[in-house]
Amino acid sequence: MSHPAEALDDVVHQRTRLGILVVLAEAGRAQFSFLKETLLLSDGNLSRHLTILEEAGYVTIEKGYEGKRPRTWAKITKAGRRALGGEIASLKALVGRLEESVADPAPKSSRSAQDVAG
Amino acid sequence: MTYDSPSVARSELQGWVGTVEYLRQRTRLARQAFWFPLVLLGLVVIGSTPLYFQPSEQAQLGLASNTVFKAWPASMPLPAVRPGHAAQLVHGHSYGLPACTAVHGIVYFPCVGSGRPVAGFSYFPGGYNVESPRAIALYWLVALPLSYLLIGWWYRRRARLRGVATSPVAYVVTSLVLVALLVVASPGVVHLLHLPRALAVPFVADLGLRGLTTLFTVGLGLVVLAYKERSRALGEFAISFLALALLVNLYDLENFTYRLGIHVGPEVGAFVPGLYLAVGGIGFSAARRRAQ
Repeated sequence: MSHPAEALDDVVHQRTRLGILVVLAEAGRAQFSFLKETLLLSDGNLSRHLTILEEAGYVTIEKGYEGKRPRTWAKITKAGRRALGGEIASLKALVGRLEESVADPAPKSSRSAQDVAG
Repeated sequence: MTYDSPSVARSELQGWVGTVEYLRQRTRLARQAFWFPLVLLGLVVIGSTPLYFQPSEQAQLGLASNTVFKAWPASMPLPAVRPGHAAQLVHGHSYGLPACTAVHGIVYFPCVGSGRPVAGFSYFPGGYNVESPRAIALYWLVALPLSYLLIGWWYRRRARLRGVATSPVAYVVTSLVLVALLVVASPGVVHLLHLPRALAVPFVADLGLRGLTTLFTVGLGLVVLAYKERSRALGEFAISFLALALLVNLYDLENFTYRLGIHVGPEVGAFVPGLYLAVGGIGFSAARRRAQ
């Protein structure tokens, strides 16, 4: 049986990108300004993480205008939803394993606590 | 990233899981806006109330408003109409009674009941046992589609202003389709278009009687909205509204209010569900403000 840590996706297993995917999974699509405000990010930081997610095929970016104001919308893809689901399942599995470790200090697998915490 | 012990790693990962849940809740709260459809539809339903007013039995029979109705003893023959006293014959009324007679300001029970003939078809959603089925049908067929379009516009506008909102498409389309389906099923439409009568889907029991069938389309639409908004509270509210819709479609609510000493007519059947929607919407709006 593989260890839950092996299922972690490097693109998603990062706090900001995980947050972006969670917000988009809940909202379907959200404006750049909403993501920035909700996740307390700077323009540059958010843009950088959105680009990584877009390159991985987890989000799509739409640019347009609302009157004369430019608007950027981010939308989660099916692959993004799958990746997010996998990440959350892995996190919960890891927490479960660590709870077992805390309750029973004897190692149950060859992986250490340091490994599973990413 | 490494940790000194499993308990530290566990705390860190639990923090991640907690953040996920927090962001999910926060985004959901930001995008939900179902108080508006509830208030709007509540006002639309309340707005239909005057169409359900019915003249009193006395007025229908052309009698003084203080005329008293009493049950007519089955063993007694109907009294003859005496000159100078109010009397009215009502033909073909819904209870199949031949006539009713008023004597000395007292109308005996056989002539009470709806004096109107029951038509062979109904203009959905106008109902049968109402003053003007066509006016009621026209009201709903104009007010409901306009309301749904307004709700769609509201969600779109909100998405532009706030940067996030629930997509209203599924809700609006489902609600419009439900109204369209009931219109197609209307015996009145089948009659007007000279279609085979077999196409008319008969309303079960009394569901088509009181002209309130549209409340089901409102309630079912709200179930879809609850799913799209991912709101259990709205889902439960929509189910309770459907139960109320079933009640007012099958039961004369004025019989209940009469026992409470409130003398109202069939219009209460439209007013109460409308009030329920509007108050629910206001309540959800207040709860949302508190949560934010």
